[in-house]
Amino acid sequence: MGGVLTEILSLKNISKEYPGVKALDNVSISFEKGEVHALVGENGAGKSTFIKTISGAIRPTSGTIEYEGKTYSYLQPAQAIDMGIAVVYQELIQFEAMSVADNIYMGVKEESGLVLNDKERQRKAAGVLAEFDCHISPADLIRNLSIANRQIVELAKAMVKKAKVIIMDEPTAAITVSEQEKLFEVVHKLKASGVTVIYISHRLDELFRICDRVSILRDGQYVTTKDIQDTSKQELINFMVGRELSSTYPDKKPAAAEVVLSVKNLTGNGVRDINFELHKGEILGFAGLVGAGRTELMHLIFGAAPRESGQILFKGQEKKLSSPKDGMAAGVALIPEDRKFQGCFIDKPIYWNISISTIDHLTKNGMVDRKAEMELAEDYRKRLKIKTPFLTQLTSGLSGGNQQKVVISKALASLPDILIFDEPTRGIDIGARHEIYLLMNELAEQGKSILMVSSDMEELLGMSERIIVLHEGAQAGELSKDEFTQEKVLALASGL
Amino acid sequence: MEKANKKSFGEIFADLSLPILLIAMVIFFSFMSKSFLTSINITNILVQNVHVAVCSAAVMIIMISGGCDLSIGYQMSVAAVLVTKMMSVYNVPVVIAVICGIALCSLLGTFNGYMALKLKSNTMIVTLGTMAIFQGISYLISESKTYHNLPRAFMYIGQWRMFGWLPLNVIIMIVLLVIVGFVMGKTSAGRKVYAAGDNPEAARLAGLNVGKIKVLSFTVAGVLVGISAILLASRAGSADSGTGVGIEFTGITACVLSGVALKGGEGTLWKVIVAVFVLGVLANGMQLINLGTYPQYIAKGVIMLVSLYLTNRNAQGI
Amino acid sequence: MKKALSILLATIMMLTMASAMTLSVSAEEKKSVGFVTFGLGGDFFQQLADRYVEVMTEAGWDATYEDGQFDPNVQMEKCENYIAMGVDVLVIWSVAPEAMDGVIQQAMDAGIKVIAFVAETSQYDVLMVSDDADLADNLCKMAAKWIDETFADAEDHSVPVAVLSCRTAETGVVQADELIKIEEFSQKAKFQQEIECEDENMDTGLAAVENFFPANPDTQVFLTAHSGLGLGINNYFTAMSSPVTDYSNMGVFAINGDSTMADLIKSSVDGASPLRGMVLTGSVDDTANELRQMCEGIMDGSVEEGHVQKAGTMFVNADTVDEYLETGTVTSVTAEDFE
Repeated sequence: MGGVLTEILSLKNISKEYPGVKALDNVSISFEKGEVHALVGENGAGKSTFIKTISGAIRPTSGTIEYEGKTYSYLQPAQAIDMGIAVVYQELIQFEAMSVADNIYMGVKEESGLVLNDKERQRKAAGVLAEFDCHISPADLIRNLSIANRQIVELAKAMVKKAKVIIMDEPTAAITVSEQEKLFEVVHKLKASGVTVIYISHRLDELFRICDRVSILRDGQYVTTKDIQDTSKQELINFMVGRELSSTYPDKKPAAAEVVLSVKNLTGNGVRDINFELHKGEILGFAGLVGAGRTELMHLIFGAAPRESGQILFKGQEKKLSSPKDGMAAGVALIPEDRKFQGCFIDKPIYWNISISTIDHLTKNGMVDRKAEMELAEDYRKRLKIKTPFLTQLTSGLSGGNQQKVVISKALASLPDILIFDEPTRGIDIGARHEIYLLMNELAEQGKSILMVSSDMEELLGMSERIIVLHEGAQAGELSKDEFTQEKVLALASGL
Repeated sequence: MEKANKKSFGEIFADLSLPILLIAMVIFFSFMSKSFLTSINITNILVQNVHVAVCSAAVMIIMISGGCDLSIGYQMSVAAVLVTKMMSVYNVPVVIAVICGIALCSLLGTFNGYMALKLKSNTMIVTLGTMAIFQGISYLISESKTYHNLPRAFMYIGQWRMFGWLPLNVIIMIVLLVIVGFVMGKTSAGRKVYAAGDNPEAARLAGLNVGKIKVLSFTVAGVLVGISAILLASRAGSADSGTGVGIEFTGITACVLSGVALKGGEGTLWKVIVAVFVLGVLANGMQLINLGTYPQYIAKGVIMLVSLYLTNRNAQGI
Repeated sequence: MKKALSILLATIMMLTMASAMTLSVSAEEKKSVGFVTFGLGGDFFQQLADRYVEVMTEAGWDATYEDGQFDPNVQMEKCENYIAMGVDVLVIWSVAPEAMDGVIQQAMDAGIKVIAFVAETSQYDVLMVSDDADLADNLCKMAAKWIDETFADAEDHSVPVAVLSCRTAETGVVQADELIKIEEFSQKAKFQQEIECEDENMDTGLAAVENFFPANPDTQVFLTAHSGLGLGINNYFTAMSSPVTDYSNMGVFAINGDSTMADLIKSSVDGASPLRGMVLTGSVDDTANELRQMCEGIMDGSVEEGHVQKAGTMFVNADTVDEYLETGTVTSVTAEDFE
């Protein structure tokens, strides 16, 4: 495979740097006309940055993009669409209250000029959908369709816009097996009509069914490209993992035997039948793919979502958890995955954030005791080494690592026994990560117990003493420290 | 309010832009009209804006909590006709009538907040509905009549002047504003209102009962609206179902001019009050220089755009 | 919660439909008339609407009214609804007559008789007017009589008169233009200044005088075409902090006030308020009966199409206020008494 004549898109030496992070490092991959080309890698390997470079959502720091023989240093979003590049995102961006036909033809110039002709649109849309052999009525509203059918609508839209390259981001993450089959048929039809499909998926099995070639990214770097028939799942996993654990993870004293939290047959909020125990001073990791229900499970334990059945026992006692307030009263604190929207009040000062969850205890004669509040904030600033000249600094002005420290301070201020770290180092640069890890160990050694959800494999293996792996809302397995390998985690997480 | 210690010149200017605008307007009108900068006229401006300032404080609390209340005008109307009718028709003692009016308004406010919570709907839309309900209630109570034979004790609230010059209603306004400023700025309750409006999800995960906070914000605002209705009715000496109607727009205008964020979580009382007086001085000054109605509309719009420009150069989350 | 709400809504809808059905059955025998009001603020408007429905119902009509809410668009919708209901006569007191052309044409095309009330529309079967300018003239005459009597010793054109106006609607503009000609009616009056107000509300009038009077403390007479503004002026002078406590040389005159205004005029006799008088377009009863005559007349042919019915003016002042409060009308004094 691979000749100059059939090459449609080629990215050469692409790098993308963010402050402190190299998201892509000198990556070169080329795509042939009419192939289904898979892109795989762990979370954070640089796949989404790579797609965004192609779709024009970001500008690469260096490198070139060659498309149909022309060279560009970057693309604009509108330009990419004009050139025939379409992206079907995992989170579909559609007009929910409009019909299928309207969605397909949104932004496409009407032949009849300015006047919209609904019947004509629907007739044409029906034609496009018929090519896919799909039973979707063009008059249906998008919000009444299944996720798979919505994706097919997006593909039809790409066809109408005469797309030559279609990028599909995790298309099977949220759809059922039978729907998958339908989707694969459509992908085959696209391929047969000469469209190049760039296919991103965590589910390695399906790659062997629909892809021609597969490229692997790891830590922002290009690993290799393989013809699919020349490789195996095991080999792909090795390529994706492919490195020794670095020694950035500090040692930690082993946990005590005392059980502080035990979860029995816990069901609700999208997870079912979860059983585990957490010991005093333990860091318990939770692994799983996006959508496996890890965050949802943490919200159950924190009281942020209602449970359907099962028990949550704190030191052997069952507590009523109907709101985060109850969770905090039971001694749980949450450091949420989304710092900006859940973790902190970004446009409020540092001290304000640290004191908000305990503000009722910081009052004197009904007034907020400003002195006590500042002392509390100052205490955590010192303990967590938050780098800021003033506690009155707005949180938005801090770096990601320091923002995270503010969120941790806020959680610690409620004096919890159990801390939930949901993606503790997402978006934080390497140096600051190490500080967060040290802090987590220190907390554990002081007798706090930690539940850690992470999509960063290295972090999971480096920090946890045990790992519980979730797969599609259920407990897929539990691994003890001596069983830890990335392959095992990945295998369990993929439901193998 | 609580920003970084080191403020750039631009930030200080943005903070002070409304007071500067107010001073500029005062200077302008002083040159244009002899009678502007007289103690009588200054008292007039204060007295005329007492109920507006109290209402705007109510609007501010609701907006900080992340809501919006379009029914405030008719809440005022209901309270005003209830109180005046009780006193003039049924001879109910002043104190009892006043308490009833304030209690009713706090109930109406709570109803707004509770409906928004239970219907899981935007407060602006909910209060658009309750506005119509309150309008109906107001006309039912008033029977489209004007109530004017009010007891002297009631009139004292809005018309009595301490030492012969210091109006009682201005003192009441100052006391109320100090309380509101104190609660919003210095107490944990106020802090929670800011948190609930700024980022409801983060507030929930920080263990705050966001729903309760939002409903209570409406309740407190209702109390202020009720007091405001009494201040207006006692100053005027009569009330009908038109009393107070439309004041929510003045309140919302003052809040937005002063940089209260429509999305919630931001707002400073003193700036809101300065904005109220920017609008008040404008209306007063334009009459003194005898500007016709139509030029007045234009001047008002221009001043609003100018002050929006001044306050929002440093970006506002809309 | 949601369930309860939907049940409630469904019940209301059912009841509405049921009542609508009984209405439509009875409507077959009776003649029907719909009245789109100017708005329902103030008890004059409300009483007129209520009284009118009473009078028409007594006369065997199926009569209803709809609140025009001072909004031409709302009025148009209400008219359209009446047309759809197939009323025999449509009475409309328009806020903006020129905006109603289309809907009135529509009504006429549907064979509905249209009575334009107060405001003159471009087409009508009957027009009932109290001429806006006439009414303002009558107010001037009443005020002039009081001024010339009270200040009989004053020099000619030396008594300062201020006018509070609201020029946001046509009526307000026409009447303000008449009121500022007070010098033509009174020998002693001196027109001083017109104070334009943004709306007709009482508190607007109050604030306007508050702002105006300290700079012009010699003003002795206020005229306004709006009862709300008039009440505001009166409230200013009767307030505790009022700069004037002796009202013997003070006069306030307004158009179309309600019973509250009449009470105040009565109290002016004892020197308790400066509100001296108001003029009205006929009493509520008179107007309602006149409307009934027009409705009946246009249906039985006794009133020709294109008929213009002019309403009289009622003068309420110290002499007639008792009569007005007792009977709701004033017959003892007419325009001739002020010539």
